[in-house]
Amino acid sequence: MAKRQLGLGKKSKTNKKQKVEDEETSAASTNELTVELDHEVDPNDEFSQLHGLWDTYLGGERDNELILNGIVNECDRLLRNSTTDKITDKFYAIYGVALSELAKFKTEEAKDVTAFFNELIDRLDTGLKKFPHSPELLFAKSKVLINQVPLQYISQLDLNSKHKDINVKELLDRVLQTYNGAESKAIEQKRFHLFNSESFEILQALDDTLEIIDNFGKDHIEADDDREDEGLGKNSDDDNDENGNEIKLDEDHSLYQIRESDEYNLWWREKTIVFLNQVKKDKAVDKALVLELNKLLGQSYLKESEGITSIYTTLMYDDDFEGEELEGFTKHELQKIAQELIGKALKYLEAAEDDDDPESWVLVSEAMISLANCYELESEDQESLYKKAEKRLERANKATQGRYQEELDNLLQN
Amino acid sequence: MTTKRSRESAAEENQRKQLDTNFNKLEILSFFNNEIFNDEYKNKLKESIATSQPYHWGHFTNLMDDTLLRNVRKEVLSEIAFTKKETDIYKVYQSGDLANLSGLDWDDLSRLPSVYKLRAAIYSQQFRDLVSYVTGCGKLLGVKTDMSINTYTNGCHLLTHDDVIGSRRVSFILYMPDPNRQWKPSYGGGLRLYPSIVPNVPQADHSAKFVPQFNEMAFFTVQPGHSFHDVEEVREDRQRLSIQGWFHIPQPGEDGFIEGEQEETEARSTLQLLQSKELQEYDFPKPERIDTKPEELELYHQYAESSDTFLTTTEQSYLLKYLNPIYLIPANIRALRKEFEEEQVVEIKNLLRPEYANLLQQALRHSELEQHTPTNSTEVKAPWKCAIPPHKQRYMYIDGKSQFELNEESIAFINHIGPQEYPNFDLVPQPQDTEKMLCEVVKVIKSVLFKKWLISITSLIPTSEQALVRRFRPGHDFILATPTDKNLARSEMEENVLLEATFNLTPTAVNHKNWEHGEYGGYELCLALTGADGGEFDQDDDPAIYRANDSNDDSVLFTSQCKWNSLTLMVRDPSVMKFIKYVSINAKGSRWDISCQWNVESAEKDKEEEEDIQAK
Repeated sequence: MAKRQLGLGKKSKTNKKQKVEDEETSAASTNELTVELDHEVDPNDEFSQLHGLWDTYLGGERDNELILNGIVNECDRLLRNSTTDKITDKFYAIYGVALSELAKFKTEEAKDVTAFFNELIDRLDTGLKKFPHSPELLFAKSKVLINQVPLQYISQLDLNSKHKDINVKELLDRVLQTYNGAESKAIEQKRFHLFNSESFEILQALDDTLEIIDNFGKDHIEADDDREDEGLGKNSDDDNDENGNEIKLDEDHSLYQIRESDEYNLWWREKTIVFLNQVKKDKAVDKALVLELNKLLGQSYLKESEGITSIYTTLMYDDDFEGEELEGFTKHELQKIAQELIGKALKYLEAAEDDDDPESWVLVSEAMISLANCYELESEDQESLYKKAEKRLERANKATQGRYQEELDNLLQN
Repeated sequence: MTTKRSRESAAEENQRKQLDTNFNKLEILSFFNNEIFNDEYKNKLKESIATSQPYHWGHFTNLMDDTLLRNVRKEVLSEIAFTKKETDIYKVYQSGDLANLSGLDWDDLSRLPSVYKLRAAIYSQQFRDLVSYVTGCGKLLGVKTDMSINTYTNGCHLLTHDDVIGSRRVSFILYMPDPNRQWKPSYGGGLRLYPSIVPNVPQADHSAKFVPQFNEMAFFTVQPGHSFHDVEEVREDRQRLSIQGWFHIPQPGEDGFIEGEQEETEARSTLQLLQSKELQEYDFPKPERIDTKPEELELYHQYAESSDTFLTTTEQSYLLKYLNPIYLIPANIRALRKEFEEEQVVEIKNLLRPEYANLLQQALRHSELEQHTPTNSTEVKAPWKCAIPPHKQRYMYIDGKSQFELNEESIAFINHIGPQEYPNFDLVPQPQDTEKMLCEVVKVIKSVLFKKWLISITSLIPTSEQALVRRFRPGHDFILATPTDKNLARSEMEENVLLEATFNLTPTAVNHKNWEHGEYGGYELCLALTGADGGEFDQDDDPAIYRANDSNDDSVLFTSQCKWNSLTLMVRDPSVMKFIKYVSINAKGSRWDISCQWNVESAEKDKEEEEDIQAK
């Protein structure tokens, strides 16, 4: 008699009988990790395994404290048992950054966080003594230092914290200095592959920290606010429903100087431009990273232009406003500055356009509309930019089942 | 002088409280916007409902007292926890825990005083009489309250259904999005109503859409076979909070009870009719497998009988134009066969050779990005057709046959009058590279050599065949969970299973991150058709309730996210339900695939017979 086909459903019933016996083994295997190793490395080499484990952590959701503990324990063990010539700068970099990642899971206890950072900076400094010219280690230290600012310091601040007690500016300056060292050494040594997404996380973390500083204090105010809680869903911002009012800080507050200065934002942009230029020099160019960097730079110029265009619009179109100058600028000066800034934004956003990503076309389209608004009404330049923007928006709308219909209608109406 | 209250009177009062009678008429009226009780308002509404399309429905604007409803909203958001529930037909956040209580206890609303008032108001005699009057639906039951709280946020949806269960007479949805902002049509979340081709078969497209605002209530009479509706997917990070419920038909002993009324409704219940053969006439495409020609079948038997079952070099050269050469290497074929035999399912990645796959991927992506994606069935043009009815499925497909209109007359012609066509993928219009290449791949699958390759992997001989090209558009398409016929084997020779192939060709899945999280749907999921207690499947079990991606859920047999260039072969027995999850409007593109089914005989029999002969 021939063997009959079971089918997927019937096979599952047969399997259930076996399942009970297998339960213990399968429960144990659910926590197992697959560690991807490069084809060229020796899978029996402990250091290669460590690198593989670290890459697995970086490539995943980064929410697995167990992997981090495993990496740190393995680093401890290797440091104890290995001969010094096997310990590389990359090893120290992994050790330090893994510890700093682990600090994110210890935020409930302030003293734990402090202890963690003290220990890991100590580890990195030991590494730097051995490898003083390692850009890899300097990038790692910059990352640790920038992670430390919000986790160890800003989290402890309130509206009454004083600059003299916790000097956040000094801490940020230390990050910048370390990063500058890493950047110049990497360029000097032509190690362009170090300008990768892992290193770019330093600049992103700085940007996030600046945003935390800009929004500092809002949490305290919003807790008392009688605004309706939207619960599960967070509203998108197209109704001006963001609480835009910045909380005023005293001049001697720990964050006052940073918030009042453009220095760090400009440093971020300057460094991101350098970063982009180095990424392009790498043999295996990370195209996704190039697109992302261009996008962020474009958005940064666009953001800077917002204040200028707002003053320009007041001068141009506000009938209630009398006078030729506003905030020390004439209409033409403002127009020129706005055009330059948005022009730069557009250049980067166009470079960030991905033929497979309609959202990137929309960003270009929006920048074109902003630029068009800075030209004379119904001028040739303005009309031509509107036309181009419309074309892109129409294409994006078509590709996304009408996601941009409202924006398109607005553009066509005006 | 105040008299001492007896224990009995206190108990009675408690009882009254339970039954919501502790509000007098004036109090109840104060919970509403009083305008709704004006004769002029009532008559105008009644008239608009009487002439409404596609079936009797209406809505109140500013139904409740504004302050009361704002308080209801605040209470709901602060006191009630919502849990995400997802099946083949919906994704929604439902009210679950009320503080520490398990489940929202509608009999203890002490922490929800405004919700308590709202419920009393909605099920009050005054409001029931008003609804009964404007709808003309007959009396409504007061003692049975039946409400739940849901919130639809980004990605939430509820596909087409008619609400017909038991004694439901009127469905209502009271909307509570953010009261301080207008709910824009572009956010989605609209209530869409479907006309029917014939009773119990909704048309492919909705004909009315209601965009909800705060303090509006939409309602309709539950009409078996007619009241088909859905909730359009919400496409923004906003909450479309709502209280929805039903008024029921009066029960024996109740005011307005009519003998046999509920039974009549139940008899017309869609649930019963859904399975009827008569209504399956309106399913397009139908599971029609065309018999393999006898001469062709003979070729397969001969191939299966040969002991070193494999294609000759000349035969391979045809397949090599399309298929990845690694899948023609005997060792790999053996490995696939082993896995298939053990698991009854096997996934073959990168089946098309890279040169061909890249061209196809570009063509498909070009269609998605540069051409208008049809948003209703009338925009679907040849060679594509629109799968119906939408309470079972909606997607675009190419079946290699002529076009027809989706109306009663045309469907009757196709089923009962006109010529019965065989599919021919050479003859369908191929306006773009996309259609041309997809039809080409179907032709490869339908070739004798591909079937021989299949036999090598599955040890199954195809005795019939159906192949469809399918496209599941974001914001539109899905297939609800469906079983196969119980009796699949058509003869003693055939196995009581189907061999099924899904060749997933989703071009945006080249980037795995676009789909693998499952949030955009589009995945294929197989469920075991067994009862909730693990026994045999019971009619009352809802087969669609499963826990997606839950490895501990025994009912989920197989899940496959959208992929690029990946063929899944599966032996499907009648205990397997299968569905394609609705594709979110926020997905990066459509799900594309080629779906095939074959009735099969076991090739092992041929081999054994051959061996017997040789032994003798």
